[in-house]
Amino acid sequence: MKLAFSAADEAFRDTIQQWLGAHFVGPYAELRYRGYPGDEDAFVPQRKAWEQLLAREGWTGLSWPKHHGGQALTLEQQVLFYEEYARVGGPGRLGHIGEGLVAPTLIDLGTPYHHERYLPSILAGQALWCQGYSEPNAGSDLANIQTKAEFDPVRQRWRLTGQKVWTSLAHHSDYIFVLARTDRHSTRHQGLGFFLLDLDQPNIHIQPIKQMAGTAEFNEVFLDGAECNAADIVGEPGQGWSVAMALLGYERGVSTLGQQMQFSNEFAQLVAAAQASKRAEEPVIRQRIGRLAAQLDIMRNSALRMLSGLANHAELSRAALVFKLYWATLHRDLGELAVDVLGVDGLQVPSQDEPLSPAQRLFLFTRADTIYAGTNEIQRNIIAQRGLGMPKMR
Amino acid sequence: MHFVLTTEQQMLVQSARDYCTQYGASKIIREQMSGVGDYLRNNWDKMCQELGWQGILVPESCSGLELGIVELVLILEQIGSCLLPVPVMSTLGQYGMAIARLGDAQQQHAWLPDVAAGTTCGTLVWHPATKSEPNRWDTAVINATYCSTKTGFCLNGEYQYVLDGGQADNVVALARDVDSGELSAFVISLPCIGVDCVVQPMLDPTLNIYRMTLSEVMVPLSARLTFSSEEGIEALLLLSALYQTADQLGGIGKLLDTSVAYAQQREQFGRPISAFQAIQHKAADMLVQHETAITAVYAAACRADEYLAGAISLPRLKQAVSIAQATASEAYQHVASEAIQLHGAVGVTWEFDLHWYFKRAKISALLYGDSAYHYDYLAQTALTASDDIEGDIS
Ligand SMILES: Cc1cc2nc3c(=O)[nH]c(=O)nc-3n(C[C@H](O)[C@H](O)[C@H](O)COP(=O)(O)OP(=O)(O)OC[C@H]3O[C@@H](n4cnc5c(N)ncnc54)[C@H](O)[C@@H]3O)c2cc1C
Repeated sequence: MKLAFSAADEAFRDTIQQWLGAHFVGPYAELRYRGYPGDEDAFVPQRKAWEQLLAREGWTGLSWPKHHGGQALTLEQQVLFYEEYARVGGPGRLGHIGEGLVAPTLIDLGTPYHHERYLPSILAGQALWCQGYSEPNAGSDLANIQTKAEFDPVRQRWRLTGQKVWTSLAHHSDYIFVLARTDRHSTRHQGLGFFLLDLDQPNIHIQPIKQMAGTAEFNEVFLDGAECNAADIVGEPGQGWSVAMALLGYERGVSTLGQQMQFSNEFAQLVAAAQASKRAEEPVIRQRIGRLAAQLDIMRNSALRMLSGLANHAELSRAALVFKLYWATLHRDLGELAVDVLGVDGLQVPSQDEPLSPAQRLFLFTRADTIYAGTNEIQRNIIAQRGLGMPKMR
Repeated sequence: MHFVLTTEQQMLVQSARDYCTQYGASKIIREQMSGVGDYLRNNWDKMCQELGWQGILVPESCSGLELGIVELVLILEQIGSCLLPVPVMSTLGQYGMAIARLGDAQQQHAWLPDVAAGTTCGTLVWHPATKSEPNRWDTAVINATYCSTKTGFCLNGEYQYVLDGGQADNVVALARDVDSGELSAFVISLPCIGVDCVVQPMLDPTLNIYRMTLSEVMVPLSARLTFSSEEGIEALLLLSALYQTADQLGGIGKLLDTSVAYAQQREQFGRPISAFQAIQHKAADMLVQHETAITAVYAAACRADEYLAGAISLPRLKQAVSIAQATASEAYQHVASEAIQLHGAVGVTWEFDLHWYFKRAKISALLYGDSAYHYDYLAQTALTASDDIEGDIS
């Protein structure tokens, strides 16, 4: 058991640092710390350009195999990249859903057609993807999906009808993957299909939803007979659920680590603010700072433990099962403390149209962390049932 | 980086688990309502013969196995899961480690082969009977004294919480030069004129601890460990705290297993209580606490090995140990109290083992600085580092 990285890995860390030092400058410098949840609408064109620069320089597709144009980096190297990227305050990754979730799913479960058609634009940082799972009546209970997919044998096209909701960044995306019912008479996990749709078509309407922080980062997506090719289904009709779950599995992998590594920057700034406001002299505030310092360290090391275990254990380890609940709750606490260390002055807004301060955004948006990607309650159900073998509830 | 157990380490854990389950404390205490001290030496002899762990930290030059802190921590975890009274922490982790770190070659050869042979039991004597700051936990509180004599040194001091002191053949006692305040470690062979050792009964009778008084104790020049230093001794205290967290970790795991098994088997309202969501969520939170503690304790163990290899600084080790100590202490207390609640009335009986763990959880959370102390230290570290933070959240 070893926590330290090898000398060779540390040398790779230097390479990353040098690259970032040389390239995360000039027009990109203003992107520092930007584009994270609560701020995802910020600098979208510039961040797209940044994604493409990363792509040109070989910093996308880190985990993908070489024959799909990826870098096939080791787990350690990927971790180091995300860690260093976060350390310099690199912006939130617009391409994450495509690169980190869609691509691995297609590589594992897709056809050569899928690979040829979709992977290159993801790798190049050109195509942005969004996730069409949730519906008005299918939230935690995702299997209650009602959106219908019908195959038109004449035109050899799938037609999808229904409504998706809470679709993050749909308004900036080029493609959406959609879970829809291929068998009208089916219920629950049966009879679903997993579809890849071009968003640029007349039968899709995207309606942004304003969030409590005032910005609109998620959307309603209306599918009014939206179409895709016969081949734009991953897996067979009826197998959509298992494809959807495989995709969620990658959410637990290394690719989301970048987002969590970024918490350390927020924490460091919060601590500096506590120092400046003198609230750091109060024992109660100090306790909360100390606790978060511990939790951030544990979060990082738990990720390493989980990732080290991935190679040997096919099934999700307990460490992996608790990870989402842990980081989401930690981040929510961090959001609370960020405004508490500033005191009531930190809650002022200069005027109604000006953007909120980072602390205010953090405070408001971290409420969502314990809701998306499985609410805290759902996480606890899963931990008890899959991790501890307790009975399923009905 | 490979932050999971190696195959050898898994085997070590398995044999430790088998052994500890067979000889756990509950049996012993129930056989005879006295302290566990009488059993200690027997357990030790048996363990040395059957398992041969006594050499794990002893350098190869002194007939030891020269394994790492990680291995010791894994063994202590299993010992903690059964509250087995056996002087592994005291003899190997404290006494043997003190001589290995602070003794010169001659001193190592004088004392360590007997540790590796399983013929000497020892311990570290440092915790003052009176502290100016009750919750403080570092070398600054050490107030026993020594002065030079013609032939050696004369020691005076009152200590408490001496682990396994009543069964020790030799002890390493920490004291300050009466004039200069310089901190040194001395090996004292027992029995010895001027050394008085009495049982210190505690709420948790499975913990085998003693008060020790040194009055005008004369030791030869060779008794002072040559490489004694403030930093070297601080490291010994940090390691002691770390061992303690491994013991806590074992208790947490045991309580989780026991509680889950009980919840699966106890029926009310016509079904196992594990079918109730309130119970599932409690159990899930217990698992989160366990996983969190595993990460924190194993990380600190890895850091300890890095420190002993000269790869990281003492403050870095202290940080890791503080995280482990605060986290495992809180986790143990949380899990112990939830375990009792989950068991209903049998949980508060003498006959069920839960109360031993409940008591151990509290004592171990207070003995090595409570979590408030460690969180404050971590906050101070974060605040000191915040001077050169860029970015403003307000
Ligand atoms: C910021 C944000 C971004 C999102 N982005 C996307 C996206 O890009 N694509 C997408 O498809 N979806 C997205 N979602 C949707 C997200 O997946 C859902 O919000 C989530 O699954 C919860 O569903 P719900 O909101 O309908 O809440 P509900 O399921 O209605 O839950 C309401 C409450 O009931 C509790 N509850 C529900 N079931 C149980 C149970 N069995 N046991 C105990 N408690 C229960 C929940 O924990 C919660 O507290 C996003 C959500 C947010 C907040």
